Amino acid sequence: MDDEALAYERFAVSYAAPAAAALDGVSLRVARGEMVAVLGATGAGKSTLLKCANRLVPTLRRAELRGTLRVLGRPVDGLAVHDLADRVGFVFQDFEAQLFSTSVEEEVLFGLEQLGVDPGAMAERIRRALDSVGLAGFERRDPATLSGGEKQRLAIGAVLALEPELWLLDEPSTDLDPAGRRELFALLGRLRAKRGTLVVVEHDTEAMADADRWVVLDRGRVALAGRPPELLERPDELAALGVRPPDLAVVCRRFGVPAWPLDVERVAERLGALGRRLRAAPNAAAESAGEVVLEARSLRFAYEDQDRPALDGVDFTLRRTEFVALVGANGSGKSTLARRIAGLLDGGSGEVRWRGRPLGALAAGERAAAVGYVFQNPDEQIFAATVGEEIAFGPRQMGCAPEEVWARVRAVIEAVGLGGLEERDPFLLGKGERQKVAVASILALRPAVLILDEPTTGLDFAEQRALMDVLESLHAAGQTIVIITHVPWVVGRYARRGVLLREGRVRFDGAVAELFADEALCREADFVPPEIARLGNRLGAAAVDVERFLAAWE
Amino acid sequence: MRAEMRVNLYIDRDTFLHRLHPQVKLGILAATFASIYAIDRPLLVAPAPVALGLLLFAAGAAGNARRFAPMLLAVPVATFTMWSLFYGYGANAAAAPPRSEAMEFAAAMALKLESFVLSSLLCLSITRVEEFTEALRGLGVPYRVSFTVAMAFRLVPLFLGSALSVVTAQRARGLDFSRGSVLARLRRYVPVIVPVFMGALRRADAMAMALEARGFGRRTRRASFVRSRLAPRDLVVGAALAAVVLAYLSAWALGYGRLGGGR
Amino acid sequence: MRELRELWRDTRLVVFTAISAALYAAILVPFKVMPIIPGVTELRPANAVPVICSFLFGPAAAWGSAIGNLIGDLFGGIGPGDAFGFAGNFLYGLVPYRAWEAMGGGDPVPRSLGDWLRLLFVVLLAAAACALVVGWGLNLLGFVPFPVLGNVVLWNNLIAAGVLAPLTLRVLYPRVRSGGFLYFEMVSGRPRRARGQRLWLAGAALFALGGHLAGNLIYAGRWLPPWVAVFDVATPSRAFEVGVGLAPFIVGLFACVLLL
Repeated sequence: MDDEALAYERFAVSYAAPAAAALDGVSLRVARGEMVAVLGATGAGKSTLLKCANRLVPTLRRAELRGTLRVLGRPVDGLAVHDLADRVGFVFQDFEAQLFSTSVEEEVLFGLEQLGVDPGAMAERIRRALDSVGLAGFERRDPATLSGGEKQRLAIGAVLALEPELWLLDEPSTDLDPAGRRELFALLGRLRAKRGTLVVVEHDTEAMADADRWVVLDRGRVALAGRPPELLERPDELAALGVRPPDLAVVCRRFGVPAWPLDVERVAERLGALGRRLRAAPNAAAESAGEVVLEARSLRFAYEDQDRPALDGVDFTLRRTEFVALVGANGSGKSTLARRIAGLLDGGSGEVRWRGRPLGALAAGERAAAVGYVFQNPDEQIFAATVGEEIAFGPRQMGCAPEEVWARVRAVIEAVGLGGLEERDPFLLGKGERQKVAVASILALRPAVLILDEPTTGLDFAEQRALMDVLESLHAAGQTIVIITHVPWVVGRYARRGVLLREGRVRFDGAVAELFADEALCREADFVPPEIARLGNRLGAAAVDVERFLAAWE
Repeated sequence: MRAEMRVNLYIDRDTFLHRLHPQVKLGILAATFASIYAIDRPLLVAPAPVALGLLLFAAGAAGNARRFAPMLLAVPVATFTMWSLFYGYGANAAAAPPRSEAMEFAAAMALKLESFVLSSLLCLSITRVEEFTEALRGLGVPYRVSFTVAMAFRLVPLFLGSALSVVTAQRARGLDFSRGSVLARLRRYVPVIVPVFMGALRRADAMAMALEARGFGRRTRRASFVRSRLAPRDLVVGAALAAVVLAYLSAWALGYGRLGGGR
Repeated sequence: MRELRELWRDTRLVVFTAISAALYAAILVPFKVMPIIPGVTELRPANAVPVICSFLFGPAAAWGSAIGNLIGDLFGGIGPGDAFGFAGNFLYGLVPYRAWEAMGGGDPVPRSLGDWLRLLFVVLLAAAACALVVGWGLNLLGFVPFPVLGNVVLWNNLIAAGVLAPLTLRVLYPRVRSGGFLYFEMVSGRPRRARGQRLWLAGAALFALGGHLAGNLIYAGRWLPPWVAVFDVATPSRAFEVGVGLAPFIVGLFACVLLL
């Protein structure tokens, strides 16, 4: 068939080592010019589905394939990955791993040289590709100096120059910040407008609302497929399959109004027409926090290779049992502030006091017991052979006696829900569990304040929920928590106080509900409140999350 | 994160030196070596580091020289000290060279090694990595080898950044690199090396996939984009370098630059 | 021999080569700040990297350490001596996995005293091979006396790799294997056992360690090999004596390692 881009028929894949079934009888057809979003939980087989289509599986990862697969109208059995390179473009999640060159121009040139494109036409192809991804003028830049969003767009540009007919994108937005994601989705829209065929693995249903079709995979099978307007009417089924349904879809379903088109203004109109009344204020009054534990005054800090200071006069006070979210665009100073108050960053001016004493004057052991810091990527700290040993590392460094070390290990394993995994190799756990190991290994130091840098990055919906629920229960038990995050629903659902930074200054510091209510301020600082809050704002009562919204209106 | 920038010493200017053909730039390294290698008289070697220092300024790379100041200072001092002690070491008293000769040899060697540091600093300041690998290909190095070198250059800042993150993360858990004996301090690198390696390995898989997906490994003929062409200025500079080398070699052949007892 | 050439055809082995090189250089470069003999070599915990990579990636580690050392040298002043740094580090990445196979193979993970001793012997052999080539080359050029550089490289390599390689391999090796990333599993099967493998191993050890001893003795004027004496030439920098005196050891070492 001429208009067929991709067709799987009763297609099954099982990996050789470690032995595991990844796909179990998938039948799916993608037409030319279509944009299909592939959704589903971690391990559902999304990535395998894509990797078979350009032969990465089984060429680079041994696997047994059954059933039939046609790519651009032809069977692909026996072909090598590079044979398909000029027709099928593949974009990976890890933008660092798909850049091999030391300049932007060389990166685009790489594929052209491999495919033997006429050298006379190369310069023009590079120019067009960089133009399309918005990187014109970056030709001589070193990719190491680009932002995450720019790196991912460069990876796409390098594929674009090869002029593929079919695009396979495997979680291209997962490692990006909100600005990078916006740029990426805008670029996908442009590829689509040129009649490109796109198959995108993605977690963000809101961003994929205008795809032609959604395909939800579950344990290697197609569990649900259809046009977004249809599937948006079934938010519970999506959630059961590990896909976070859009807030608006959940609300529409509950009140029995159509979710499509999925747009805050239109949904607000539809809900407003129902004439329901507000029963209670959606957000409980801010709980009273304890005494001040940490106080930072006029912090200033500049990295040596940057013109603008990362912190430009920041005041920050933290009380016991607070749950604070630091939000703002990349480069706004969130991480710098967090590292400064954790005592991990020397230099700059201003002072940080811990219970009245300068933080710098605390002994190493005292400081570890004051503020604990969980870094963004758990893989940048996990090294031990077992989960137990990993968690024991910190207390041992502090000089705890062996019985004290293991008492702490047992306690935190219980607290984060890793019971039974003490003897397992942390490297072989899933990302969500590795993140819990990282949290536990800091908790074992018994810090009064726990700071987490983007704890939900790279986790699927269920894993995000599981991790944040752990933090919530710790908070309920009296733990003071500060998170740095880009994820709006995480802020609304879990944090009580929001601190919005922009260009090294605090633009807002107060209740999360009030932060969400000021959309103009948020926009200015490049932070988008969750859809549910924006819907609430239009209906006259801002809500921080869906449950509280529904409770207030029913 | 921050240190990424510091790995690359290239200074993005548009000077005469920057515009040279990559092979001519490598020619500066070769000419430095060929000229002064055999010369053991410090006065004759001295013009080389001076000239290279001036070129470094002309390339707008004084900042790099400042960054490498400790090394630029330590190299000649250590070399001089070493050779003033080791020159003629072990020879019997009758055959031992005079002390002044040892001093002269040590000073010349200090200036030679200083010249090598300066010339490589100069080349790093004016040569982009892709020019360097292009020059390697020009010298007959196979494409896949020169590509691997370029890819390694690209990965250095990535792994360096990851190593720095790991160090910060482990320090936050109480790891202290400054305590204890040499062996104890070395052992503390285990919590750094393991995550850096595992991170690299997780990436290796995706990198091989991404390379293949962009056509690496095709058996069809690769095309090659012409990046630089020889210009008249390259011939002029090449001839000048050859003249310097020739002058030094003839000086040596005429007996200048050689020390008394040496060869 | 063949695997050293054929690896360039396999995309994954090319990636492993680049990764070995970059890991080595990324840990080398920051330590350029505190050199022992400035501009020539410096204290490097990075020196464990080629040995670790050798066990994980096989021949890719040989090319990788040679390239990684070259990149590191660029940041410390490149000169004609770097050709010997290239060759020496090539052996440093090549010897460990080959010598280990010749000694019976198995997982390079220290579980018993015997494992520790075997691993330390392999590290000693690799460190001495690298130090001999680098020390010989730089003395041949007349830049650095053999006793200085040969010994510094030997001890730097031996201490860093002797401590760090066994400890990190204990954690890394089983994981890399379960991920299917080991060289041997990728090229399907361990290399054929060469006949007389143990003989080549003994030869390599003899040339590496013997050459090291010879280098020190020749420089100190305590021994003049007969094949040097025939020339009746004396150089105050010992460039000639060390250069010619060690040449047979270097040739023998390369021959034994490549046949191993």
